Amino acid sequence: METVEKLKILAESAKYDVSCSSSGSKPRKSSPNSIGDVKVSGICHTFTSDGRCVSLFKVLMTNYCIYDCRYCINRTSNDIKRALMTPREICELTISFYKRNYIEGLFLSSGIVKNPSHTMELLLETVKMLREEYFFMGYIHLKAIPGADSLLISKAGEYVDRLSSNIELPSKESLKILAPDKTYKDILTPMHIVNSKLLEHKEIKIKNKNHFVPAGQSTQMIVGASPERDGHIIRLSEELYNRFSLKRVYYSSYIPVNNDSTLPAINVSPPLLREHRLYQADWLLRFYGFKSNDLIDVNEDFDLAFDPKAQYALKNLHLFPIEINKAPYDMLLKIPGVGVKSAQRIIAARKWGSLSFEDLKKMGIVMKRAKFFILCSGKHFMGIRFCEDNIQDFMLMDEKVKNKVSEGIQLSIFDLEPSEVFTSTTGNI
Amino acid sequence: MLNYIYDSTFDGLLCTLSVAFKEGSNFTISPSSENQMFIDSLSIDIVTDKNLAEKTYIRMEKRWGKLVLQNIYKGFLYPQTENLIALYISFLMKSPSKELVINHPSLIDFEKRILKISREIHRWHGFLRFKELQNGFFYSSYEPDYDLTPLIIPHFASRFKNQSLIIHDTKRNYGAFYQNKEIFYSRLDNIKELPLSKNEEFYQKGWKAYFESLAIESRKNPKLQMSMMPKKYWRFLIEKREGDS
Repeated sequence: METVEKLKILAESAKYDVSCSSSGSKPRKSSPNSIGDVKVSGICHTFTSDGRCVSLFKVLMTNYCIYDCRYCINRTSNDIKRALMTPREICELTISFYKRNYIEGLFLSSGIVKNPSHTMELLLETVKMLREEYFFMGYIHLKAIPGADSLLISKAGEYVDRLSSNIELPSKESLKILAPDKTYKDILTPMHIVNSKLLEHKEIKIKNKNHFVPAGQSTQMIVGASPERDGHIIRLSEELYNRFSLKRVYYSSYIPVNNDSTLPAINVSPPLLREHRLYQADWLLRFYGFKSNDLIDVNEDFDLAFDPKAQYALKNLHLFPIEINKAPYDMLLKIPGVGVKSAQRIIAARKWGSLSFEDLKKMGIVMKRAKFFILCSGKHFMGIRFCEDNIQDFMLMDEKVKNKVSEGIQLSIFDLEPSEVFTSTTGNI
Repeated sequence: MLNYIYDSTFDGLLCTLSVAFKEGSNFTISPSSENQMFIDSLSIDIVTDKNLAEKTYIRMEKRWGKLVLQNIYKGFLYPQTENLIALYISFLMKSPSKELVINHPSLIDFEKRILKISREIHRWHGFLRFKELQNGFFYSSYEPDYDLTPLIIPHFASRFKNQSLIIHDTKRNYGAFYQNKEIFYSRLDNIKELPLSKNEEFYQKGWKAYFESLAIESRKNPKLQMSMMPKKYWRFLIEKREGDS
């Protein structure tokens, strides 16, 4: 089969993996022959017509697979074109694309051939070749194959920037129904291995030795293929962050590719707005000091009309309005329309004197949101009276105006955080 | 009030700052190209002196560090920012903490301009595309809004340290060359045809095919694509160029 044909097939099969981040890694020791480096902020090299960033050469080694996961395009019972690339072919393509500045590095995953350990061995061989024969110092994200020998997984960790193992579905029960060949135990084991290795490395601070997954580990779950509520999902993410110190949990709107009685109908459109709300809530957990309990009950879904932070504010009106010129950092972060950057900016700028609404506007605070919840030197924003009963109505009115202007779902990014915005799907609020 | 006129070069700006701050902080700066008549101010022409420029640069870098100098250079690339640069420096001279200065409410505009430049640099780090030529050079052409080439080339030189590179600004007709660990600049007019290496077409085709297979039909969102990757970049991207390989 021709390389171009293989590329098409293996890209097609890899595209449902969300992550494409190339940020947060640390440089490797370079040698005279080496090529490449990593950028802390990550770099996006292009954007597909669905608006997703392409940072890495995201590809499967093969889409042959012995498993029959119901939701997966590559399941063994599907009659599709299959292809396989050798470690050499993958390395050649990666280096050639990299030299032309098409990519930041490689994101390699694979269907399961023969058995998990055999598959993992081939992946390991590829990344080893890329580092040791091609002296490639760019970013590598590798999938840890669930069920593979733990030695192979920890060995692979020495060569790559990020390892990930997808949790696939938000509960054991759903996994059993939709991915009968996989178990939570097999999926969580690589996470355990990576986490304990990372802790080990942190403790002894191995110097002059190459890193172990410097960009940490991540996971992904499908949203909308199974009945779990947002409250359950966000708690699961919280636990994953706490237990395995994951860098990211990715949420992937269920996209029907197979006709299957256990799944939503094939013509259902992916729940993009719901996915967006989950990303926003995820952001609140990681950067805004929120706990899942602050945000939502276990059996609830997020209101699609408001972002989770606005929902929190509306439920906790007794905490507001917040005085911009006095409030501590963690309270500033609770204000709808104030992001991490803005909160930091407010703290820094008010050292020079009291801030006015005009200053806030110039600093990029989203006044349309924030105006209901803040005071500047004891005063409300012009024309706003803090009245518990009607804030929600006013905010809804603003929403309606916005929706009229931009039809359909608008995945707006309220507060630009360049590093993340440039690299991946975000839920920054 | 005094108005200093300089020759629009970075060296000229450094000399102006050096001369002006010795005389006090009540002044304005304008480039010679937009020399307006100031009725109530006295105009002084600054003659650019390479030595003075270098001394000023080193002195400022010693006192405030690399990042501040980068901010000043980025500010210089943005039109009509001379007076904000002067304001920035006057705050730096007064303030005990250089990190805080950029957050001063009167410098928000300055910070925004710097951010704009930084953002364009970041975008080109991603969107620049190299073609391998028959002579082994990796060639890239682009047209940045601001004159960024000197700020862009170090990133590629350190990443592709064993490659020979050309980054050609076809709007300003000059190129940055990188070869054997050295960077140099040269005037470069538009080149019509460049002989490509024998593998070049294969990789361009492969990349294009790969890119097209990546999009998920049911998530289609051209608006989002456009906002993340504005159309002005498309003609430089192999994967977005129609009927060209």
